[in-house]
Amino acid sequence: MFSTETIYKKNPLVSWQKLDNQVLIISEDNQHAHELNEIAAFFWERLDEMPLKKIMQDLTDNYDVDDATLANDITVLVNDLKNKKLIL
Amino acid sequence: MSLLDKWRENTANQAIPLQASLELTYRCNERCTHCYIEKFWDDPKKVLALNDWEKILDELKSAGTLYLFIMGGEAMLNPLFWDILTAAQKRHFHLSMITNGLKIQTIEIAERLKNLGVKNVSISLYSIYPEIHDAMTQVKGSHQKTLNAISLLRSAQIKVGINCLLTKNNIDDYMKLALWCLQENLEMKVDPTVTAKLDGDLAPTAYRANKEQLTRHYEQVATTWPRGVPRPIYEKGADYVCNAAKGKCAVNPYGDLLSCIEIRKPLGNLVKQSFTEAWNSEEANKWRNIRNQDLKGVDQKTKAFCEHCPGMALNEINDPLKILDHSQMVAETKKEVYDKYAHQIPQD
Repeated sequence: MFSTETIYKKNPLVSWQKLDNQVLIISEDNQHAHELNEIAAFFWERLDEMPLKKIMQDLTDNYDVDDATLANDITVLVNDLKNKKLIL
Repeated sequence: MSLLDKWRENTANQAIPLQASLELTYRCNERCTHCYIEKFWDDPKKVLALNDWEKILDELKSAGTLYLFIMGGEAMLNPLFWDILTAAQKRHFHLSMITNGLKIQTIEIAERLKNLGVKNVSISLYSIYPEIHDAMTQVKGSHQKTLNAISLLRSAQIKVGINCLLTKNNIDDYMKLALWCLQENLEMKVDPTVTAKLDGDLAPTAYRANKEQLTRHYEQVATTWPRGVPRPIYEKGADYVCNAAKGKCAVNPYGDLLSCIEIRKPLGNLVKQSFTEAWNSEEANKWRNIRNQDLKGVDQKTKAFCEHCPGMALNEINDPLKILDHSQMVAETKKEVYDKYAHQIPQD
């Protein structure tokens, strides 16, 4: 688990673009492409600027999701992005 | 279909330029005999400041560009090169460079490129023989410097590819360069398409390899590597000619937006206007809407081997729709070699 006060940063050496509410990310080693769905893309765009808890608040304000489900989904997403070295 | 192919196809279908080429300067420290640039200098009245380049990068990012190809002339001769690269990295573009490598002569420079997010570097190398390469670049010692750059970039963990334009002066020694690339595990792109200069001057076309040389070249490749037999071009549908003003665009050193690097008619200027305004112009639609059935002089027997470039035809014969004699000759040569050696292609 991680603190919701944490401000995660996008890895400056990954490249990405958002189109049609989806994000395409090319990994730092240039070997892998990843696609984020609309909600993950919403999360991705807010990295660098605000703590996790603020992003989660924005998500609940914009999407029909309960707190427990959101917390679980964000945990999975953050771990996934960290494991892939897409965020620092 | 891979994820990247899916994005390429979706963006091209929506005329979103996922790929953009950025010509940072016309200046160059080589004088390649076959080069399409007519003057190796930038008009001081039109040279862009850093904030102009930053606006251009912002416009491209908003337009949907992910892949940015930094090129020239020799891009590294733009005094703002490192600042522009830094600005591009901040905007999270996928960065590739096309260079002759002459300005990459220390590991510090190679590592600086790596640290600024440059993923791929394509380097022009014309021959394994210094005398042939240097004669083509008209710079003595350029071959050695280019080899140094390749080595330094690889030491910095940057993926390097070799671009080799085939002309009448280097085509006969192509196999030796290809084998060296294979041995060095370097990806190689080969192209016999020498284009006219940007102002329509046909002088570079005198360096094109002739039919006899091309036949010998394609046969040599086919007999050495059966998978290298020239094949019919993948047909993306009856209407498809090229990706210009659809999935790709280009920007020249003065900020003019182009449909692609070959089509030099500006769609607008990204310093003075928005990308959207220029991209939705009548000129852009004209290039975007070229269809296969609009092309003139198509030979039905060889059309599957014919790579028509409207920009090249516009520049050379002032008719973007007419198949060039040279393109036709290359297509015929490829088909003849294909007919002779297709049976050797391994079945996957």
